[in-house]
Amino acid sequence: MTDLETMLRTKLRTAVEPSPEPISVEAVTNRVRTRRRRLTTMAAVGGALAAAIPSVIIATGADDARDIHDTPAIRPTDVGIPAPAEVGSLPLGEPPSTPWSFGQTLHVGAQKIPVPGTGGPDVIGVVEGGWFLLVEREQFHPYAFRTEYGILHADGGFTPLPNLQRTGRPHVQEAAVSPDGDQVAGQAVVDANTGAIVARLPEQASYLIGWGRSGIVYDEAYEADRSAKSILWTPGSDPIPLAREVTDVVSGSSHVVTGKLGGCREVADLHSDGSLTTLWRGCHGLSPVLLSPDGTHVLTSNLSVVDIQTGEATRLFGADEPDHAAPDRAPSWQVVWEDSAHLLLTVDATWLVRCSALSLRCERAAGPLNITPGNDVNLIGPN
Amino acid sequence: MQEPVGFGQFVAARSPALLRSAWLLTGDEALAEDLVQTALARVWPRWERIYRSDSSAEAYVRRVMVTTYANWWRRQWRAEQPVAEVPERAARVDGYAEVNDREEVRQALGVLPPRQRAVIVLRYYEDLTERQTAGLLDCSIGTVKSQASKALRRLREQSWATVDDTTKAADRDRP
Repeated sequence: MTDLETMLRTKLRTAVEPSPEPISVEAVTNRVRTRRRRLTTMAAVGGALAAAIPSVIIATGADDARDIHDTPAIRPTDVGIPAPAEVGSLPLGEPPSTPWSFGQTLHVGAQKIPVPGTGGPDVIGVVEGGWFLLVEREQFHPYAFRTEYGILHADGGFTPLPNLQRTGRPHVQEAAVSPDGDQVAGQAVVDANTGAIVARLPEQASYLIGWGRSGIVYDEAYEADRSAKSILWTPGSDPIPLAREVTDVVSGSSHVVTGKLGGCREVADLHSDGSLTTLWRGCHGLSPVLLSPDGTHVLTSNLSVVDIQTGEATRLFGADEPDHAAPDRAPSWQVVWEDSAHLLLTVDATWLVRCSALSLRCERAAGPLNITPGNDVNLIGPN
Repeated sequence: MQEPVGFGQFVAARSPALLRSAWLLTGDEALAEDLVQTALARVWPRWERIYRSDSSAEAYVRRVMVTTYANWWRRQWRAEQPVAEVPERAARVDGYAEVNDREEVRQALGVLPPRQRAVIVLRYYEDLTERQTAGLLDCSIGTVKSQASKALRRLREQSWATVDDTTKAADRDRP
């Protein structure tokens, strides 16, 4: 565990002492009564509306969606990821075709490019002329770093982008690359070649979700007295509030993942006018997590690969899901779509493994690596 | 309206622990109490089905609490709070304002989006594993890891900014 994590655990425990008094059951009872009265009223109103206008259809954009609420038959399979002891026996395939970082080195095909800074870079995407990164600099304190956005070039040179530096409060968290690779966005939209500011994000932008073909999607500031929304925006245009919360933007495409934490989530097409067309919905373990670049397959929260057209779901791990929690807070377990047909993932803190989304046949793409918290892997999907 | 069997004892025994977690999530004592009451009210109709032990029921209530919290800012949740509840909130007095760690944690967590804050609380206060956290939030282990990583980076940057501000203030004060 890092110094920051140790400090965090200690401070979280100290901050909640002494123990608060118990909640009164009467308070909960009152809330239950109020909730029941409200639900009864809503049902009555809904019933009256239905009786008065039976042909009204409340548009959800889900008419053509394939809805999966119950766990489908996940067929046993002898493909997928084998037990950790057997991963080394998988056939050896080509190195990853997308960039990936290991410690302070960026791997691009056979090329290894040193990355400046410490703590492992956050590789955000591919731009014209290199790779857009966030690096950690200058550990000033056991758990305090300064971070820097910049472009890493193939010759190892690093060009900082000072116009994206997060200074002062508030500022925009996270960053993204434009679909054409010419611009990057964070605090502002800047030209990836010159670093010059092209446009400033709207003032309420707080958390950048991604940059797809329809534009930049961000969340507004999280305030207790406002209902925050996901917003679609392109430079020079007005922000468009979206009807649903966007949790993921598939880079370079019009596809997004929407929905609530812990509930059902949808794969949808986000149009330039802000409208959403639901393509697929999953719930309770089958919530979509990663959509393939061509939008045909989804990796779900229970690590199943789902064919959106047929709804067929197959577990990525052929047997029981390995216990990636041990050792705890250790190297990251990651998965990305290497391309529309293949998933790339870290396995057992040792291997990079490639699996076909169609056949679930897997092969080793890199390793053995000694992946540790201080020497971690960062997989980058295609732009 | 009859209280489900065992519900009162559970609330008396476990609500303090739930309030602690809720405070870390919301940063406000009144909101924390709202969150726990909301979660308990939602669990009430299903109590007899979910209760097997205090610990299993608590895990269920925590799940409802965390997902309720993470989705609160997505709608005008205050519209759901009945006016009749206000006196109960007002009766509680915040006796912790002078504790430095509490304020520091409240401010630090306050800059994180709800999902990241939930991951930090579950991982570093509840001590859940990545797998347990992913199961509770219904997301992948990789998502838990990336959200925690982003949150920790954000906290490190904030620490830098705090240290930087302190250094600048010290420089200004230096004769």
